[in-house]
Amino acid sequence: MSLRPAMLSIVFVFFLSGCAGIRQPNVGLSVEKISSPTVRVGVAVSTLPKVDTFFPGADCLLCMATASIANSSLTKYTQTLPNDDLSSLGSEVVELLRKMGADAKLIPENINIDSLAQWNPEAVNFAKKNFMPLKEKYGIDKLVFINIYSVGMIRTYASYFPTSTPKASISALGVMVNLNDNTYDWYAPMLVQKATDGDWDEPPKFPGLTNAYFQAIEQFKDGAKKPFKP
Amino acid sequence: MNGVSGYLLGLLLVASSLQSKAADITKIQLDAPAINERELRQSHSTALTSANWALRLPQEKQVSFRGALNTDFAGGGAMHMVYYAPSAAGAVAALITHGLLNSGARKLEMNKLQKEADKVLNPYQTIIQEFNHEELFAMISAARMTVGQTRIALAEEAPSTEWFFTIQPVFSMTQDQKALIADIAVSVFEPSKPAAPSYTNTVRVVSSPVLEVDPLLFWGNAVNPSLKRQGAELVLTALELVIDQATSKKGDAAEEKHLTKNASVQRTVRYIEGGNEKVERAEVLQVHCDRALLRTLRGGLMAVPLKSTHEFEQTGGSRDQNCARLGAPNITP
Repeated sequence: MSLRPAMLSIVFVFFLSGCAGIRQPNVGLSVEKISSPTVRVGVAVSTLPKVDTFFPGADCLLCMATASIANSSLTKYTQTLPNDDLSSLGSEVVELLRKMGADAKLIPENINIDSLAQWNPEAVNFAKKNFMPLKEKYGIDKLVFINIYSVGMIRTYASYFPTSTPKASISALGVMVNLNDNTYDWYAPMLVQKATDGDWDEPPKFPGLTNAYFQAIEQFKDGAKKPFKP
Repeated sequence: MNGVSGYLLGLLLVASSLQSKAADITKIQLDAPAINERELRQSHSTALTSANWALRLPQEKQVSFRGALNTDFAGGGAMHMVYYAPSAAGAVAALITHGLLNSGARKLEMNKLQKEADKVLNPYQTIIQEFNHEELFAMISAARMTVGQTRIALAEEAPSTEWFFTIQPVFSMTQDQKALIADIAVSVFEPSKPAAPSYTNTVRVVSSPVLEVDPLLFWGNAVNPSLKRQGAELVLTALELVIDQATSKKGDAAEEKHLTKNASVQRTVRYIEGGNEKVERAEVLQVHCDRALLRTLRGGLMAVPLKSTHEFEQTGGSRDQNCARLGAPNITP
């Protein structure tokens, strides 16, 4: 019986520590931070992920199997969709930065975030990885990095049953890191979802969802470029 | 145990796919057309070129309007369910109950969203309630005759030798009240085969944005309400597009060359819908007078206003200088 208070305390501390993680708020980009020709800005976009389907909410094994089989034709088709239109995003951001007066260049290679060291994870407005070594490596003062997490179709589930129709979806995080002190000059999580105009279940080519997919790509690119428009 | 799991998985798949099929929004949408306008033209070239056209109105008297709806973030979201299942039968009952509740909730949500969207039409209810298909037809017919084109008669009054259309228009007003959109299901019937349409498709026509400061004054003008006038313009534009695509032989060679060169070339097109920029993945059929005619991925036709024709200058699409074909005809009530 004497163990009960101790156990409760451990559980309480566990939950409390779970809540203590600092949530990074959005950081708006201010023009003066990049509009000087003396500021060298590098722009990088993560390797584009495979276009796929996602079923959040179908958590248990049987739920996953049900969702996967019920949407198998959509998944098979989705995986054939091109994501080429996203590949120009980096160079388009570079163009916009140059129009704003920055000395901008595209970082042509993939930046492997996982290979960077952890950095000051408990502070707000500081990157959680140490980006500062990239200053020397690429000869830049600030790094704009757009990390695209997922591209494809999303359909939410409550265990076995869909709670929405499938939608085109892109999720990403856009940041600009000051490589002198590892702070965020821009921090913007991005989520775009586009529903079909009409029915969605049109195998084998799913024209409504295909249209929504390309709409989502354009909407995502517009959103990602918006902070860099003068 | 494996048998029970298999049974459960099968049951879930059936229930899940039934839910998948449930259409959330009632929209005018036909299957992809069996033939396009060009194929219709080529298979009936002699008859179509000289044809007068007749129109059969929808059976419903009143013209259908609704508010344009955005469902991008509709749906219940991802959630975890815990089922109380003391036995296999209890598990099945719990799953069925969940499925039914879930399906009902989704339908309720979509109905609620549509009702909210329809509120944009509240100031115009008087006009909408008195607007019937006969009046719509009268406005279309008068306008078409004033520009010296072949007449359109009511199918019931036309000789049985004439080709005729059936149309089913639904109008949507954008939430910023700056544009009206017509979604029209069009069927074309050959005189000798009045039972089965030779051609069926959907045509969407988006009006040019309203520049007036107060949309209420524009759409709801007591003397000459633009809601009716623009509605008739959009339907007439849709009919003109189908007739034009089905009968025009000029440019067949050029079109053939263009189609051969750009067969099934789909591109992402940006256009204007009210105060917003929209995107459609489509084949560009024509661009002129700051408007574009597109063939959507579903095979439907779509006439939209462009922000600028500049980006289309290098596309190779035929640029017709005759703005009347895709522009707004002069319609008076």
